[in-house]
Amino acid sequence: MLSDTIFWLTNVLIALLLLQAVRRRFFTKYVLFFAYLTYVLVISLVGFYVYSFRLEAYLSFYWYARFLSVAGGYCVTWELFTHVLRHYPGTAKMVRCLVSVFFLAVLGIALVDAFNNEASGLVESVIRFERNLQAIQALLLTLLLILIRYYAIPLGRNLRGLVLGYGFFIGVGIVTLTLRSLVGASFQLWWQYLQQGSGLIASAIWVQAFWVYAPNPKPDVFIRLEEDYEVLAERTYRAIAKARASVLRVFQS
Amino acid sequence: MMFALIFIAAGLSLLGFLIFLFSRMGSHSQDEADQNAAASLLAADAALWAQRLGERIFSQVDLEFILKESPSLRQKLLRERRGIALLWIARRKDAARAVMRLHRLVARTNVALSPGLEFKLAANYFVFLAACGLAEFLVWLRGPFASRKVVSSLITVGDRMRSLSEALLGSLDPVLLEEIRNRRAGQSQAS
Repeated sequence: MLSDTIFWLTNVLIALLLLQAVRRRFFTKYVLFFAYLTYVLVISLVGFYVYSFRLEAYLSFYWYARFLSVAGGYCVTWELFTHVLRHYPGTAKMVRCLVSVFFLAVLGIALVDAFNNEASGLVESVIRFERNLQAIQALLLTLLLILIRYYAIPLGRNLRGLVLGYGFFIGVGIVTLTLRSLVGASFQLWWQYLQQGSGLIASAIWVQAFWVYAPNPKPDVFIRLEEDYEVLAERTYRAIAKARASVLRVFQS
Repeated sequence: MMFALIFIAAGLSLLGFLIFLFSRMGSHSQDEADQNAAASLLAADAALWAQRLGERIFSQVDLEFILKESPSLRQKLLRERRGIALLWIARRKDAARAVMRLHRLVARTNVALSPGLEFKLAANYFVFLAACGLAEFLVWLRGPFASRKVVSSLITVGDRMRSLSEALLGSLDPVLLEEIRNRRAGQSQAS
């Protein structure tokens, strides 16, 4: 009963959000996010039909749908990065470097596991596979949050809601998927409630954030420097490095 | 089990960062943030000019004078001087923060940004902040006079930050610099 209520409430919120995006004509502004929500809504309704009338096909349908949903989630993450960093080419360059290093590390770990014949252990169940994909997303989002904080990048109402809702959904998802994989079937009911609950909370956050279209604020006060970035960075680096060394010397002596 | 812990840590750290970020985001607009950064740089610059104050705060002369003239006031002097010393270190940190804040405001929109340099800079900056934190702890624990050695090093740090601050201010757009100065002058008149 509780599960059904959460299920329908989430779908109503998503439908409301999509309706609002179409009515106020900002569907195309966050096209990947709204396409993802459309997919989630359609899959939920089709899933309900399959579960009610063709139960034997439900299991395979469910896992295929879940896999595509996680893949769609990567598109949302990509859109998030694009919107947040649109007016910040310097930070975007930093992100490109960090994400490249991150994916090289992930690839390296996957290759080592493959040679150690442990890859099957990582993908031996759909839950673990989904968890691994969500973990990568979680790390990418954490990286984005660190850079937002470090470079003081402002977020508008829409992006703030998108980051908060999606980050919350992914964060809860990875913890519950890990616990489900660790504890086993006895955690199934809790897993279901937690997953559905996080979906409902994320939808509520998105409805509030996307009720009106609010573009991300531009950095309209550009601090202009007459000198080259490299000279400035090098000078900043040298000053702080010397400062650090002189402080550390005292503690070492 | 090891993998499970890593995954749970990844999920929880994402949730933790979300809470941290959104609790601190507040209602400050971008304009306010940029103005504050530039203004605090100017304030930091003023603070850095008062380097001699640091030497005076941590100097043994006052303590020696009190011990000689009125030993009963020793505890009061130590208590008051500790508070002043902690405030002085906090100002050193603020100065470094302001310089770094300006650097980041410039770097985030600059296509020429070098990730390698940014990493080095961030690492040095955070180690410096940690060293200041340690100095604060020592002053709180042992008092300002017993921590003289540490603080004398911080004075050197302050000198370096001052030269950096001057270099940054020198390279700022003069029109923008004038705007900031006028705004600050207006604010101080209003208060």
